[in-house]
Amino acid sequence: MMDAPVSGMQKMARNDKRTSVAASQADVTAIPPFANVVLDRMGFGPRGNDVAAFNALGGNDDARLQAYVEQQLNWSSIADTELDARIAGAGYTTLNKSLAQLWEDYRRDPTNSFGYYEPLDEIERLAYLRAVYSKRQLLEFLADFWHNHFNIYGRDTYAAPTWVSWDRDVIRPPVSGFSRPAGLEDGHLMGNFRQMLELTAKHPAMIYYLDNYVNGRADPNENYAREIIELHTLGSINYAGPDPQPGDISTISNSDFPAGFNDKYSDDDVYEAMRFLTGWNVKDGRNPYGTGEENTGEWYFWPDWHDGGQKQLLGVHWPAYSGISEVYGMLDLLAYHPGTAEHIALKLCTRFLNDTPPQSLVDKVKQTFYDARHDSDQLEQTYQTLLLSDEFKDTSTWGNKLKRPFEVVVSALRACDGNFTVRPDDTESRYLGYYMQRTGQRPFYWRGPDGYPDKRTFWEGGASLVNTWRTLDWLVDENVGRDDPDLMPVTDIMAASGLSEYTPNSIVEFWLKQLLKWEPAGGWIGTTLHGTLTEFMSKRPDHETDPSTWPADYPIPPEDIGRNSYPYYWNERVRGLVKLIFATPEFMQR
Amino acid sequence: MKLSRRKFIGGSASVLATASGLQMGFAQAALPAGSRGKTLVYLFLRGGIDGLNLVIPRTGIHRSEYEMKRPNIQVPVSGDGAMHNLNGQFGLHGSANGLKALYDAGKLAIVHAVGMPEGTGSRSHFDSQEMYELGTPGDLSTATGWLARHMISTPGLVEEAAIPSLSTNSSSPTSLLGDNTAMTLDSVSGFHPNAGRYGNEHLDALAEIYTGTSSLDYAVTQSIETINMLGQINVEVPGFYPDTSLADDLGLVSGMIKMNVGLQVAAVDFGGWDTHNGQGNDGGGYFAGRVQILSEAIEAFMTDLASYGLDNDVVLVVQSEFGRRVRENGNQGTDHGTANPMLVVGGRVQGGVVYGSFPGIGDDDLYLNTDLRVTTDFREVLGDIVVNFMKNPNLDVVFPGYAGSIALGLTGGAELFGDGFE
Repeated sequence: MMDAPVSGMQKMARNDKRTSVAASQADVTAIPPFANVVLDRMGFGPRGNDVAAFNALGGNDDARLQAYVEQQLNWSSIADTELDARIAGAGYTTLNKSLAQLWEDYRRDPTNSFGYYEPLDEIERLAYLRAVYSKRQLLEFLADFWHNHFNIYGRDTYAAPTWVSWDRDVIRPPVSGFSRPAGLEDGHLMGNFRQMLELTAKHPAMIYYLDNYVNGRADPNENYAREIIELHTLGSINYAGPDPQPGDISTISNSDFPAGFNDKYSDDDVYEAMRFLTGWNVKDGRNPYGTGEENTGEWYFWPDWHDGGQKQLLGVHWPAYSGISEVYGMLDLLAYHPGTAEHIALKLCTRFLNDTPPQSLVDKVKQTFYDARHDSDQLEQTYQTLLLSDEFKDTSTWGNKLKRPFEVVVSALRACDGNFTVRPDDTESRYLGYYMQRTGQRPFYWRGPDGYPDKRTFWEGGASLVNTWRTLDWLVDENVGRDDPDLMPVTDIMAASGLSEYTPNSIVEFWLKQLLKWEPAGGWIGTTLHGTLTEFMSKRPDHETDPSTWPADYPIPPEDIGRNSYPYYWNERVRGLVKLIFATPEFMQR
Repeated sequence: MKLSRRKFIGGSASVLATASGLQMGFAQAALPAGSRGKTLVYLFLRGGIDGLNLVIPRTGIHRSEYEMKRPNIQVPVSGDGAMHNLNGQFGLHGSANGLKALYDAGKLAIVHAVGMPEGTGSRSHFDSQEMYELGTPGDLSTATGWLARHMISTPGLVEEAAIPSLSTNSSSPTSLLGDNTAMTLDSVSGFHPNAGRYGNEHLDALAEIYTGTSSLDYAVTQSIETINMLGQINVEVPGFYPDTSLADDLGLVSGMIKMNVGLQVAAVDFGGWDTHNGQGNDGGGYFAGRVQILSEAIEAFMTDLASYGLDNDVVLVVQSEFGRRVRENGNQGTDHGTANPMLVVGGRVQGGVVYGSFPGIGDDDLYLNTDLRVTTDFREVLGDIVVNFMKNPNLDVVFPGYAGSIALGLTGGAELFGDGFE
């Protein structure tokens, strides 16, 4: 902030240069090593000995990445003992309920203490726990991606009761005891997009959230029809607008639709999709208006409500009275469309790598997604192309992504060996939700169907930044000096540091290495960042009359760091240092 | 008390002081000495408000078409849930008591059937919001928002303004994209990255770390300045405001204006308008509740400002990404449409009038046979305010490529010359 004065320019804020600055990353001391870049890019940052474990995977970066990607894609072979133990002891009660049971317990009979919301609350808390403690980091990273791609506002009173099922039966790979319906076994984030799309379409959370439960031939509703095209499949990059002109739309073809189809969609296609989806509904005891329908929360197709007339979507014709097969045909056309491959590829590359990913990478990822569109492991192949690409290996573009609030908080808990079993019925866990809400990124609380924004322009608001840091401020301080264990064991880590002497210099160096888990060539000492942080550690308290700072090698008695006592409150100062390192560009960007 | 950022950041000119509008080649006009400056509040209704049920055809052929096309959700002319009568031809939703009072006092103007030029709009929430906020219909690739371009080009910034632009969300909206001086502040309470003993040292260190010229550097610098500022001003929302998040946001904006921080633009959001299903029949229900929240918050905001004699310095504009379909859908809701009314509120507003040209809602009148047709370009409304009220003559910068009129006179066009423009 202390730039040299510009001569002759004394007026403040008069059309200053900050207006019209494009989104851009802040300078960092150096680009982190390959292992750190990979762990930042395909997960929530390094934890414990992750960096060393990565480096032990092979003789060079390529080999290590190859091995790590294979390992992460083969997620079921990664033991998740720590996460499992924490979940087992946390008191979750909704996770093993079937969709029918959830519907019965939380939708039909919401008399439990949380009403409709208990399943949502549990999955929200589990989201933090999984992201912090799971060794299946890629899977957790992708779960976040796909939850946002098919975004549903979790507080919707139909979505909330079924949220456990939405997360388990649609987004994530199947777990034992909860198999997919026949033909949709591969519908999940590691499997096949077409099957996953159908699972999302058949889940009550989606059918309610986007109003398809009221979409009937006499009273059509286009909400879901629009978003399944605009957000879930082709994307607005392939939208020709409400009133396309000649030349805006071309005919293309592929092996699935050899007679040809349109490359872009218009509003006419939205209206047609709405007609396809008439009668696509949920058994909720209300249709037809309460006469004898079951009330189970299951999807069903109700021919009486279906518009049986002939239809045309993206230039493909369906004859009259095709019944439910035309809906499946519509899902085929949307899922196998090259525009969908482009849209998903662009979003994946943006999420993993760069707000404006290189087109060369998007093209490769698109090609794999498209070529593998009938494969059971289509999405796994797609990620593999992305993660093993030259563009992904290029560390020079590290830092282009600003971590979003959820990622900042989770990666901080990972970096500082946080000890926080986020769980139901727990005051601290509830507080975490409140704090996250103010950051603007509480999981599953984005209201619109487009999901939390991915690009840094959105998150560079001061309010989001300050509230994210405030969340960390609370996490680092919570329980300090009380009987309960600290959520962030800063004092314990300091005590076990093995430093031969505690000085501003050595403490800052220790924590930079501890939290960032890398150091520049030549070490942290002597860098500008180290100097700034050392100055923070060296300022005397306000009540001291001596305005000078302590020297950088000022010896601090270790027992004073262990307790937070007058006059220097060293423990609080060290915790402040930890909070500051979390706020550096080196930590905030990925 | 006049506040300046300089007081907070200790001394000489800083990153804030460089290229002036003059250097950048924009037209200049001096403000009268000692001016407080003007404030433009841009209130965006996310989700697409059903404007035909806010400003409603009340008589004649438009009324009969309206009743035919909206058998369930129509707002009645009289009886339970009746609309307010605006000018005979149009009514205002019956839950908008506060807005009606402002209209009657001549402080609310309505422009009906506003939108983007035919063929450039979108029925996607997200694309349409982007294009309105970028200020470039049909073009999503614009790099800056229209409010940001106003900030870049206006000669009307108060010297030593402490908070020239503000967003009351956790993040800045697209309209301010590119304006890295914009403060974002969701709420005053607990707004600090280190609530403990070393809070000041923490801010000092952050300021030393973020000295660069990236957008992230500016965002951090901005938040530090916000925190410092909050330590010195009182922006508590007065108790007579309703207990709603919109009222809290407008109360915060009003607090900044009252504190004379040099606020030029403020962006406020209010969502929940995507009424595909069961929006409320006979003038009641969900939609009526949203309208009431909107109306009461704006009324409190104007009452607050007027009690300090400041309502003449402020214009609040209400916009949404699209209107909804003229015909109700089968679920007693409405799907995404096109044109919509805009509301313009302020002490100088030439209110009590419905501006614009209503294109009719007979079958042959509709755009694509379904939507209210656009008869007024939204840039005509915003341009009128930018040029004639905010006194920024650089319309071509704020709305590049716009060659239409800005002569609605929503705040009285003659004022432009009276205040010394050439």
